Amino acid sequence: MRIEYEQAIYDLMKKNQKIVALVADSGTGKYKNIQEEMSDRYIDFGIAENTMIAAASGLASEGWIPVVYGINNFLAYRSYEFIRNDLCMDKRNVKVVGIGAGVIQNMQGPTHHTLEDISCLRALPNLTILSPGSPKEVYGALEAAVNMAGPVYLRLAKLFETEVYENAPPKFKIGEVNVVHYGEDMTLFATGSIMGDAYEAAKILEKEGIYVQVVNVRSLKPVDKAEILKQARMTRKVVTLEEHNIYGGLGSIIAEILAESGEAFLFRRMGFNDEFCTEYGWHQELKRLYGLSPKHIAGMCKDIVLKDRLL
Amino acid sequence: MSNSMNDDISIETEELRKRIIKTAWNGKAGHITSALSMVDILAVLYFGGVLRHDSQKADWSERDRFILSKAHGGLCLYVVLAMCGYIPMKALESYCHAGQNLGDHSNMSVNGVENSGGSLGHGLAIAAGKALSAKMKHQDYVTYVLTGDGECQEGSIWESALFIGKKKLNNLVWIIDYNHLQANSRIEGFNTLEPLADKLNDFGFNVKNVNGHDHEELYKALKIDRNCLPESPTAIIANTRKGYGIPLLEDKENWHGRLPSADEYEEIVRELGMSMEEFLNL
Repeated sequence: MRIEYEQAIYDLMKKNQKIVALVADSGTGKYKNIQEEMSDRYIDFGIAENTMIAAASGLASEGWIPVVYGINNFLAYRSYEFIRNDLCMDKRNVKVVGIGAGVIQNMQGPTHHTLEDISCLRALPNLTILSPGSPKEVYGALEAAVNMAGPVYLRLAKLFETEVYENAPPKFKIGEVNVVHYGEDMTLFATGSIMGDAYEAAKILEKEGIYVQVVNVRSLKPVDKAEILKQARMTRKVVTLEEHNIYGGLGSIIAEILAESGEAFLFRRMGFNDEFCTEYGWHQELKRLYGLSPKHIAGMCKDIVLKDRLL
Repeated sequence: MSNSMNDDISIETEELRKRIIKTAWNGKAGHITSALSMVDILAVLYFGGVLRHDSQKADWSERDRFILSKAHGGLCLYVVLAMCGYIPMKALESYCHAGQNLGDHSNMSVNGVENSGGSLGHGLAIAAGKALSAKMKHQDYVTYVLTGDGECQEGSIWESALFIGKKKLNNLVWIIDYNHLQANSRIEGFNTLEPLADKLNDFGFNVKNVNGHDHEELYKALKIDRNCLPESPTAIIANTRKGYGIPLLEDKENWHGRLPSADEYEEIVRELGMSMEEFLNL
């Protein structure tokens, strides 16, 4: 998603003179072109995320649209209070773009992983949270973020995502979910970087005659409660999947919606089980070690489908 | 550009001090000593002709920006805004009352307030963003930001100072209310800021050391020629006394955020040169 994002910010800055690119020693790739071609709207704060966020608030108060860019965890955790007070409280028109959600910073270790950002950030009033599941929808997500007024957190993966859309994805609309694979046996809600694994799991199960409805929850806040409930009701068997702690993220969001419906569902959450990822290795390998490979996902989906048959 | 103040603002300053006490009394809240520490700074900024501002056009794009980073001094700012006409004087009676928007820490829902504050160490970077915007848009407003001295123990202050110095934001004026007292004790009992002037100088600021209660000194330090900006950003060390002007409170420990008792209020009112009746009718 990094390549797609960098192209998107470059293109959008060319089109919209109000966008300002803010980085904290984090601008690589296409950002070099931004620096060279739009130097008056490129600001590198050095390794100073808090100053970057608060200064973004100041810039936004003067009519700019600052797009802040950095590794998710340094923004979400180190600068949490700055996002809370300086962006959310005053409803500043700042877009916080985190690159490297989940454990894609695989060799860097747990300080660089981002497995709790949805949990902490979704508690902030006025903050919109977008989590595209496909490289192809990154452009639309950034465009939607820039076109709306108010603070947005854009949660991006980084590299090697499996594409789930053969053609152009449906237009990115804030507050909407999107079905990426159709099936009537159970519903798998997934978000962000792990969407491709959800898709692969559905393909594995298809060969076994189990058909999974895979829903891309690409807008986490606001979230389309009605559509989620509709998708869940179609099968009554629900699994959530995220490259995030199972506490407070997508699993919790879906659980809240299902619980408040007052209806019965079979329900499981997949993600990191309240643990840090302390292993090193390739991204796919790390997910496998923590029970989040396509095979694991397929196993969980199959389990919930079979359980239902036993009832 | 004039180098001295045209008007004597001592009358306004005295009224400001009295109304701060009255507002705190009304609301049964407020950081009184923190507000009194910065009275003269805000008086010179708003009444003394330093800020280019118009209370009838709070969002005027050419106004000078004032960021209150030590937002627990909101009590002082609110009274100043009322005296300038940004908010009705009557609004002060609602200070810290349920359902009203004037609280202990200043927030931007109040007309004339640029940003919401309360947590320390944010305002300097917000001011940097505003000063940067002026450069980018070729606007000539000056951005003023007032921080506390204890606030300078926050790492984000020095992060921001590095940035401001590096960017040479010479349209920014950072005022430090150096009253040497923080919540628990004297600042020197924790992390002393000294040598503060040297530090600020090393970070790339043009440092001015002034008596933070002397209007002429403050005016000379605060007034920036927008048509001929200094080479570097400005840092003003305003040497102040917490609780200034009221002997019971002045430069005393354990008064941060503390409210006076009924007896103490009476003493404070006496020290303000008022009778209780005059105070209640203020």
